[in-house]
Amino acid sequence: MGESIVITSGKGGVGKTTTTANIGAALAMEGKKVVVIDADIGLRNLDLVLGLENRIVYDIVDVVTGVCRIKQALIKDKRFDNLYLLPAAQTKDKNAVNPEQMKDLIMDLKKTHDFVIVDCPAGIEQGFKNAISGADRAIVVTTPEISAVRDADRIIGLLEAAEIHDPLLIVNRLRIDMARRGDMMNVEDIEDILAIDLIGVVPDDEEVVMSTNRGEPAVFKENSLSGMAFRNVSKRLIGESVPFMEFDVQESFFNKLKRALSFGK
Amino acid sequence: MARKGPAEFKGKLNGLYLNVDTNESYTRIMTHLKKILEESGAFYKGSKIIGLTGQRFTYKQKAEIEDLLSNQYGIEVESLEEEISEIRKNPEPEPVHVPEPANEPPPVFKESVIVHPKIADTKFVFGTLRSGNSVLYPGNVILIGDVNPGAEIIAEGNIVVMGRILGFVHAGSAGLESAIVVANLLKPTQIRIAKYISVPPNDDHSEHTLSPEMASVSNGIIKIEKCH
Repeated sequence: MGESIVITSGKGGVGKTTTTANIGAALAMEGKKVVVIDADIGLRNLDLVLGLENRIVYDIVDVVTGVCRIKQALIKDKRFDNLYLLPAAQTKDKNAVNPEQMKDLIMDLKKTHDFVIVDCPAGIEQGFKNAISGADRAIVVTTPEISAVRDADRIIGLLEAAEIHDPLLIVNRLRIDMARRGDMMNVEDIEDILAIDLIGVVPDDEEVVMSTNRGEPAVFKENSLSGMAFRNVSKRLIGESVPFMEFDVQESFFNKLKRALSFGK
Repeated sequence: MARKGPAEFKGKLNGLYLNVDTNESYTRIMTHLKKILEESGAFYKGSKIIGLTGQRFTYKQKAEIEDLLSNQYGIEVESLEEEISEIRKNPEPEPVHVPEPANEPPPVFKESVIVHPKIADTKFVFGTLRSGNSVLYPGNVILIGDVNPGAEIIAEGNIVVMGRILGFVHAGSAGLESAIVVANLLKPTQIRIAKYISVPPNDDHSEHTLSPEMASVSNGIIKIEKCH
């Protein structure tokens, strides 16, 4: 029996879909059998990020309405044989599926896969309710902005109300230099407000933008910082303890000199 | 008055209307009418039928009804002309064939009807189809505009797009393998003709040109080539 994890955030544009694709791919790299589900019916994106858009024949609505079998709708990833995508429908809306159907679907998928990762749509309406039904755990994605953190807080409350306890936190798109200078919220501030366990910090990385546009998750890039961060998240998910990355930004010569001088005093 | 059934009498200011179900067969209506009259024919004696609603009957059928009403039960029949504006809605239409000359397709289409029963009609769509839009039609579709990624056209006949196809198109969706897809730029995310599925290669850098491209099935695969 596998485990189902919903990736949610409340606010849009914080990187839920990118996170889902990367964690899914990273878990597959670890040798797990993974299926990622796009629950954002009507605004599907996960297929794009994984570069599988043109392979879609059936979608999640076809599965729950019995048009096809689950197996027919699952799309095998180009790079990994043990990563599958269940795409959302584009021409329907969130009401095409109800929480009971999602629950049954995820239950079925859990029997044959190690991880079922659900990409939740933004918002707290029907789409959110569908996505979290059937989830064993939740990962809340936020960025270091007060609006995203506020929404994440609300989401954590809603998750608890839905009996999904102890959600995990990913701080995405952190700009280390800005956080250092105190111009941006840092990870400690966010942990302080949300008071849930941190499972990963993903730095702001141009590589993510580029790889997303190419349709291949950043985890495939060996030397990418964000890819590394997602690989660490997936390792923590399967129970390995991996130390958090030290984000050493290049210190300017002047700063180094200043530090050296003050140390000498 | 009459119980619920496929036929009943309805009182109007100057007489009675015979009101029948739109989708009921003539024989069932007649059977029901006879039953009503057997039970309460005496009640209607001397009243006047001034019209018929719900269906159009042939002259022969009208004559039969008239014969039944006036000769057997003494109900005066002034007219059995239909009033189509007052068609009675049947909540559960049964798939029963009703002899309705008005509903038969116009004779203009007769010839094509023989070849492909449903591909006689063409739908025109104006404007660009954006992600999430979909056009479903049991005939040909002509689109004046683009099909963006995430949008779809599913037609049982041919698809002609005066613009770019970047989304999903399915021609001959009911199994017509001779269906074609024509567009100024054919770069769909996925294209289907009848039961065949194809994904154009990514490295295709064809541009908008004056000569349109056409996709068709030949030897079991979908081919995209320049028209002419």
